Amino acid sequence: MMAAKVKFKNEDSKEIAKERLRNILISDRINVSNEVLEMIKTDIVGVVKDYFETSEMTSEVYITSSNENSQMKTSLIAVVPINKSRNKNNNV
Amino acid sequence: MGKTIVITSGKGGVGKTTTTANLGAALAMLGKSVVVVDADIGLRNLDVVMGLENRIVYNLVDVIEGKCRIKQALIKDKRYEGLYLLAAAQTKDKDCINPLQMKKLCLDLQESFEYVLVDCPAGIENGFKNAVAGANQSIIVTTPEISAVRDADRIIGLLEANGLYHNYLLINRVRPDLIKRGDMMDINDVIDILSLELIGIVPDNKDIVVSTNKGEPIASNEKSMSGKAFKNIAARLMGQNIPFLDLKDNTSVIMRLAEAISGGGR
Repeated sequence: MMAAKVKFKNEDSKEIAKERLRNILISDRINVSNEVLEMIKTDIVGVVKDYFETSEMTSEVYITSSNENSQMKTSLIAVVPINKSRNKNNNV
Repeated sequence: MGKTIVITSGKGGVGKTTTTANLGAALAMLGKSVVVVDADIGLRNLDVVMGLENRIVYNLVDVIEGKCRIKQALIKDKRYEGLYLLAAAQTKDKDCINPLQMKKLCLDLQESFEYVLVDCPAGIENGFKNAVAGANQSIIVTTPEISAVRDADRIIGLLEANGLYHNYLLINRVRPDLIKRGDMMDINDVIDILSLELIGIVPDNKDIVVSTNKGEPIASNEKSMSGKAFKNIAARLMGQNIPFLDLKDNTSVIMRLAEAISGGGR
């Protein structure tokens, strides 16, 4: 293909490679399997369910790392979308 | 008393054997006494890469089993003063020796040689454990690809678990043209991820294929960038402070055009 490819910085395949590699290494290094992450998700959603209407289907739990001052910082991120609060006890 | 350096990677096909052969030749060219040891029992290749396959009489397993003395099994590379090869056995498997025996062999070799370079088999099983058993240092060979870097990370963990903390990183098969296009992780990306001390960068080069075909280490080719890279690494191992090669994208416009016409991607 002769047509010049217009590429934007964030479309570089090396950025995709780095991002994928980072995620792979995080799970390799902390040695936590997807099954364990699923269990954590079930537990977290279970707690949130007592207060809000939510579902495991729409929730996500993952481990991420960021490079802060050349120190790798690893965090567990849980994203639990909520529909509305359960008002039955009026305490939320 | 010399030292033992294991050349390892986890993943296969990243250039461990080529690295071992060339660092052996380069160190010998710099006046050192070197023995390169093929620890890949059952799949020996170091002899072939070095072009010494027709001269093997005894091998590493024969030495360990006491069938011959070390000196009888050492093959002298006549092209390089001070360079010897200890070949692997081809008909045995990796379980016929153990780490203790390998450690003793490395210690024995260190008495006669300044550098003992051990070519480690791919994988993390017994062959790996044997190869690293006698090592004082390691060179972890990787390429700028996800799978190779991932395996290198795993290997670093295993080496440290084995008490080996003196580990260097060698990035092989670097393609400046792909890096420039943003299609290959660059050197700093790989170093950042593995946080290991860099010992060298070797560009991907057709010279290496040619030299392997002929059984002549590329390190002795004055014109080759890859040969130069290996020589620099040998000098750095000896403690010299040599700047890293500046790998610019030398692909000409005409070559790029030719590549595009012939189908572009590979």
